[in-house]
Amino acid sequence: MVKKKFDKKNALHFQVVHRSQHDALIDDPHASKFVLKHITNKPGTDGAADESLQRAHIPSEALSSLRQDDEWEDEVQELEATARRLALGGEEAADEWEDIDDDDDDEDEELEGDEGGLEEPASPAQPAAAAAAAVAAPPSTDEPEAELVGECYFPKDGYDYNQHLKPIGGAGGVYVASLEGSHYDPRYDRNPQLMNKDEREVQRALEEPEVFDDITDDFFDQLAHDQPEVDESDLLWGGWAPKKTGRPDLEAYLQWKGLMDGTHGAQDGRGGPAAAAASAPPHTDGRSETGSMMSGTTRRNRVVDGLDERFDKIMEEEYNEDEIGELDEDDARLHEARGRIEQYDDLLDEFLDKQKKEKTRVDAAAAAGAAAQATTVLNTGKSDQDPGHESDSSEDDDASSSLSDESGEDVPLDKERVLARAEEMELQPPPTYDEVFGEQVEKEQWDCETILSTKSNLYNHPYKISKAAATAANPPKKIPIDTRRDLPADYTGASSGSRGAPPPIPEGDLLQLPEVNTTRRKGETAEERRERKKAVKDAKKLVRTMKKENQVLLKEAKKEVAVKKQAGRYDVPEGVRRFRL
Amino acid sequence: MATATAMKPVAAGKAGMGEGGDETRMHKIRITLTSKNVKSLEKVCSDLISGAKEKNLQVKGPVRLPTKTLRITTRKSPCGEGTNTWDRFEMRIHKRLIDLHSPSDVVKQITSISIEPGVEVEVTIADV
Repeated sequence: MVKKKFDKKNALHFQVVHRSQHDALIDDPHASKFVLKHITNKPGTDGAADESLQRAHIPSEALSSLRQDDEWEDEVQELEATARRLALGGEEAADEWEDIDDDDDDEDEELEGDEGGLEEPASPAQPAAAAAAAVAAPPSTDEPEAELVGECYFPKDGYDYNQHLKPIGGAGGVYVASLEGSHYDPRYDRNPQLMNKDEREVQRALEEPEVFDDITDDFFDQLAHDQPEVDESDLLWGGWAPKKTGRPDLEAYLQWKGLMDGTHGAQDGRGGPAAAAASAPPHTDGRSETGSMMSGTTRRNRVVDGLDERFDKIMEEEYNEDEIGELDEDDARLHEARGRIEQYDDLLDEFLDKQKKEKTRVDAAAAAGAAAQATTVLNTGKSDQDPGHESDSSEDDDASSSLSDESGEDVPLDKERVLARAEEMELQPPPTYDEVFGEQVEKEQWDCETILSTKSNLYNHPYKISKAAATAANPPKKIPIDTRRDLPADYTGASSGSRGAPPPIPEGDLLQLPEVNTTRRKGETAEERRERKKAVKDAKKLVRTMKKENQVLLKEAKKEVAVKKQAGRYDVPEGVRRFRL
Repeated sequence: MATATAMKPVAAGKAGMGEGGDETRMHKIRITLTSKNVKSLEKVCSDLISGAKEKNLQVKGPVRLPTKTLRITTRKSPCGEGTNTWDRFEMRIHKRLIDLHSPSDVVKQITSISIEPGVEVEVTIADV
């Protein structure tokens, strides 16, 4: 069975691409966003036909949107045939161009009257034909730009330079002409025949402005003729006109200002609401007479007016002129405040007395110049302030009682001693600050009454040393005492002169190391030297073996200890068989 | 008419031609899928094949052509100084072919499927 191969040569090739933005169905939600784009330069296809089709610039929009009928293939074929004909045909193509141009003859006559010499433009109805004409039949005009032909601006000397150009789309792409009138085509700048009437007129107006007169029509006035007049302020500022017309009047304000400047003295007196009203700026609306607390530029509304009224009311009710100033002697509130102050009067007096006494005391101590007395005073003061001190904690919380107690506990000064000391200190220079207070900072004086322990309970757990209670089964052991020496009878250390000799090692365990001579004597022969060296080596070897044995024994001993420890940890008594899980 | 003929099962293309005449002309459609990303390519392939099977079309494929690997080995250093270290870049292009025997109605439905970005789809239509 022979498999039929896929006939690539006669097949049509398409590529799925996104729909172009210029496609008519781009905004249609029901249309697919992908379209099939015809590819002509596919490998394995007819090369000559491809080149002609490329030059013919087959537009893709004819193939982009597939229609619902089944004859789209026929249309494709017709288009291809048309393109071939237009590209390759000579006279037939020219005839087709003439038929298309006949429609624009009337329009062109007007233009010819102005300038003369404008040729007939190509019809925009067939974009393929126009594109092909642009390439196949270059326009022949008398304008200077017409000397350069085509997109590459080759000179017009009858030679076809395009034959040397490589065709576009060598990698499988196809050059497709752009849509008519949808976007800018640079060829329009050089070929006015491709422009329509309006575009040509605009182009001419830009190039020759002196030919055209200025517009003198009142187009916009005519447009607005039927409409009512519009306020310019509304046009400029928009619909921001105030809702209330009662805006501050500038003229009234100026009059008021003049009045105020003239009668300046009337404003100084704090008369009251009436005077305030007279001095207030004028307002057109019936607002509060005392004037608004808000800024004059703020738009007036009901809320603002309400706020002003409330504020004025509060001011009148609570802050009358009688309320301003110091309290009178007859005022009950004054007596009330005074009564409260008198309660604490006694306390304050006591506190002040205490402060005075403290001051005199310190001055006396400084005058005496005794560092010990100063520290004593300070210590007594410190002990009083110490929270651990029992006397303070047991006292009442009432400040007056504590003050009186402290004042009664003054340290009695020895007058004679002070005077004697003063005489001594007169000869000496006055003590510096460090001498008086420095020692206190350096020395740490501890009071055994207050300091119980310098150790923390975190790591120091004092415990009671307990001794085993004596029972009948376990009577306390009595140590026999030698009456002659007043020492325990078992004690033999003093008599022997040493603290108990270690037990003797049995001779079987002793190992006598060989005596080895490590020094070289004079006149040693070679044989003696060899023997000496050998003896040293043997001794070292012996020591090594001993060391190794000791290490092994130590390891085994450690293992046994570990096993015993484990045994003890789980509180399993000896003799009980244990199995490792 | 066209839709009615399109709904007929296309087990044998020639038989379809005989029944419907020129309106149900069968075509050989070869869809070539190319991509650098295998995952998206396989997804599009499976979507196409499942869509074709739903419509009871004769489907062949996907034929997995050998992957083309473009390797570029360049020096890492922008200048010539330093240890000679090299970067090895590669780009793999995967290609799949799917053959269908169906009327031309089906071709336009190819554009309605969701094509993953990076997957290039080419359609070749030949007469049976």
